[in-house]
Amino acid sequence: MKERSSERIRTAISRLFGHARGASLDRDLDEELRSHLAFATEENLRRGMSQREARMAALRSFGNLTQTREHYRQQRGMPMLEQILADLRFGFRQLRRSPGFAITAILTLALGVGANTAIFTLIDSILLRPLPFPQQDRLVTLSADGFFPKGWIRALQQNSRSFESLAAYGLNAESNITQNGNSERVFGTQVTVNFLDTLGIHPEIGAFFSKENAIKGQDNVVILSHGYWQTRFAASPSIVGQTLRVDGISRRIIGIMPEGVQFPYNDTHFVVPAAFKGGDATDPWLGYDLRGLGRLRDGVTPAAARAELLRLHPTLLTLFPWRMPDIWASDTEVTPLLDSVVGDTRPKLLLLFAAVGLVLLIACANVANLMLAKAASREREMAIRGALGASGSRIVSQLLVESVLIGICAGAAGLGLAFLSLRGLIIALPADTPRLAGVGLHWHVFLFAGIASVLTGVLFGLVPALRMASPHLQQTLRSGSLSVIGKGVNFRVSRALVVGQIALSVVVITVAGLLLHSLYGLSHVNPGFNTGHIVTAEVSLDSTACKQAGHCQNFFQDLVRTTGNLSGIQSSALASTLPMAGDENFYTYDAEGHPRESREGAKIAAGRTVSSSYFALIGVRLIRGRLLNESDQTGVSRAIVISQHMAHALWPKDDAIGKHLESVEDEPTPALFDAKKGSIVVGVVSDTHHDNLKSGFGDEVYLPLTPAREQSSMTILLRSQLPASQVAPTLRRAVAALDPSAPVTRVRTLDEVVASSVSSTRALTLLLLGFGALAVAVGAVGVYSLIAYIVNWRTREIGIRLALGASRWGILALIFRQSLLLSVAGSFIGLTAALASARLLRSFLFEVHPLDPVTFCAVPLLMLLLAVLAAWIPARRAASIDPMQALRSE
Amino acid sequence: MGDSKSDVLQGTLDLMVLKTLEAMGPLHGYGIARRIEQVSGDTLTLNQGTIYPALLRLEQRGWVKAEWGMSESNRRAKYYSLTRPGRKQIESETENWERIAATMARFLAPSN
Repeated sequence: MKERSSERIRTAISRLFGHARGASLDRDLDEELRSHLAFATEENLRRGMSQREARMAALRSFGNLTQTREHYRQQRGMPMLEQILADLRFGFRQLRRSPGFAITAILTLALGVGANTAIFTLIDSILLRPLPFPQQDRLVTLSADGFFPKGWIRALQQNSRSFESLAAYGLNAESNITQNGNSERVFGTQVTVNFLDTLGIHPEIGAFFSKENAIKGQDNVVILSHGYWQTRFAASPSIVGQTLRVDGISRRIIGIMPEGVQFPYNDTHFVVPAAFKGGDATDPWLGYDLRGLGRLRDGVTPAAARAELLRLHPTLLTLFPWRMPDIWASDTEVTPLLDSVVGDTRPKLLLLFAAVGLVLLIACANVANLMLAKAASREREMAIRGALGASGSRIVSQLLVESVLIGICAGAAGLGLAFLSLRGLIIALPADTPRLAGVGLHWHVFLFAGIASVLTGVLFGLVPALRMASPHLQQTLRSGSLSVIGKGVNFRVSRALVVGQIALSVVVITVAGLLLHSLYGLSHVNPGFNTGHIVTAEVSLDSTACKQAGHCQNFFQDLVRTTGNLSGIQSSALASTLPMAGDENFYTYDAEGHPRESREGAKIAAGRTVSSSYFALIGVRLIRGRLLNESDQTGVSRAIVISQHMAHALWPKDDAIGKHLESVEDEPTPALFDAKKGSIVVGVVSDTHHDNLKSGFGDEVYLPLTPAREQSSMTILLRSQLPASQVAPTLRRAVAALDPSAPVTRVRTLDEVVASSVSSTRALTLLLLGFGALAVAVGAVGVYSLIAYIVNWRTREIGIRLALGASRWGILALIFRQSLLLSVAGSFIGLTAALASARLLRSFLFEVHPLDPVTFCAVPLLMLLLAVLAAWIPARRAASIDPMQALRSE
Repeated sequence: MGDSKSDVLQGTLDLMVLKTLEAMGPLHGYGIARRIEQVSGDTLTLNQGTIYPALLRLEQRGWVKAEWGMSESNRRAKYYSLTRPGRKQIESETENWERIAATMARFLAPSN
């Protein structure tokens, strides 16, 4: 009878239930059959048969009872599933019977799956998981090379049609938060009042900013992060409505952000509103410190929004109260928020993922070889199965179930390994990696590990299974046992697998080698200044402290003087920012002899306000003219010092000494250069890698600490032979003596500052080296086991050779040649693949050509060495074979 | 086994079971098997056991339903009865069979 599809589904469902409730349904059937036989016996009794006859007749007419049960069960359950379960049970027994094989295979794969799962966890948590904001895929950032003033954001809000809502956020800035006389440095930022609403989040308690908070005078409010509220205020709800001093300004706490918001920055603990001064036409256009955050309208793509912004750009530029350079903000990019949060972490994680993927492939090849070796010993079993009527596909499926079983065991072990290694991995990553706090095992990871382990099982099981399913039945059954050289086993597939393993290992370590060479190069770059024996720290007054003219300048001048005389401290200096700390200040200027039109952009250099002792302390050399001195700090001399690179770029033919520069901030109208008001270059000093070790020399300006340039927070540098842990308390005492409420933070050596500028390269290199070592180790084990297996298999042959007069050296050479040939072939293929893919690495490398000869020579040498090592034990065994024993053993 | 008896044709057993239930109302497995043997005039060799996988098949398709009950002789037995889709199925299958039987009859009729 034909079944309709609905009936087919019904059947399938009832079969599924039938399978699950097997035992109770079996009892049901048995009872039904018992009652059937009882009815039949009863009827036969009525016909006058004896009890015994009646029962026999009933059974006869029923037919085969066992077969009926079997048919019934087949109809009821799922034969496929039952078959797989039977295979699984058989597979388990197989594994238990050869625990050595099982443990080796599972461990090898677990390493591969574990490494993959760990890296996938990072990818999932950092790159894939949506940010914790509703419809986060519509959130975008607006960024340009530089920042926007709040007037520009307002202009975009009023004119752009691409955004449902447009907000902005400021720089990540540390502030003094004071309560009960204790100050601490806390990171926060200023945001437009609609910022949190644009994100789509709601306050944990209290409220977010209202429109009125955007007006100067009504902006003395603050919103705290969930984390800061918990650690600092023990999550007390009564905190809302209280006041907090932020940089000397009393602000009312109006609300708390919900948990999990780490935005705009990982360590943002409070936000304050960006406010407009009513009636002041220029105020909105001063202060270039905002980045845009937008929520796109339904259906608007980031590209479309960007196109609209560029269309508006020329019109909106005229809103400035002065003529802005045409190029200003013309490079505005609209980037999906997740992409801009992730930044350049994506290619690094993908590189790691590719490396661990190769490690997994190597592990698969290894286990496939183990399976092949085992298959040889099971050839007779398979032949007998075939002879008894098992079809080829039945044997393949049984073997695949076995290998998938190994894969799943390895997956479970790998998941455990990943879980255990995750903490270490997080520590190994640089601290500024985005979304690091949210890294964890989510269901994606379990799904990934599951799929990876099943796929792995199929991958390494398929080759042996296919080989085993087509054994030469009769030959195998006929040949009693081993002949001179084991026949039936063809090492071709195994050799190919080992060559593949070596090739993949070569790719992984070549990549790791290139990065290592880069890192080595980086660590030998001379930064252009001394880094040893210098302890640095940030000392911060309230940012409002400088309103009292001269207060900040006096404080820091006193500080540098007193600390310079402390015991154990050789010298002391101040700088607005440290080189290579990642927070450069820009000095935007016009230079003598370089007139520009107002529509052109001004020149930009790295600007550093320093005390006169800075140069000697950090070892920046004077090349021409003079250094800054104490008297320059009055501001009368208008002296500045520039770097050699900058002097050469500005005035290649002339002497830079005596030339004038003017900061655009000091120009009454932009692009109106006035040499009489500008600063005077009094000296030229040596260049430094101020940005990072990778970048070349740039333009640098050193400015004296004049009253006009006084600032509330500066970095102090102390040269001392003492360790940082001893310098810090001395410094804290000195600061406390001047101002007990000024916090001293970020105490670290200059060595640490420079080292942390390459921390991400170092982390990537170390991880890749680790995976490279794993790849090579697994590959070497693969070579070893194949050679050992071959030697084992050829024992009789070697015995005969020795009996016929072959020398032991000859046997050694025979075995080593096998191993070396594999290694040479693998290295050749691997290097070819590495050559082809090296170009992709260019962005990760520093002053190392993608085809770096050092790496490309070292790697094959390493592989040859490994080939010798891996063949060592088997070769010695082969050479020590006793011909008599070898020939006698059957 | 005598030559006059024939095996149950594949697929015909289901219709026989359904037809029996239609005629007799709810019935247990033994009753169904005996009834089929009687109706066929003992020309079929029916291993009574084969009725059970068939009944399960019909149940899975939703054409019959089964309930435990008590027989007249006070014995616990599983009673099968037709469902509404089962009745419809009889109609369409009967038509089908009549068509096949008529076709077969035409083939088997002495040619002239």
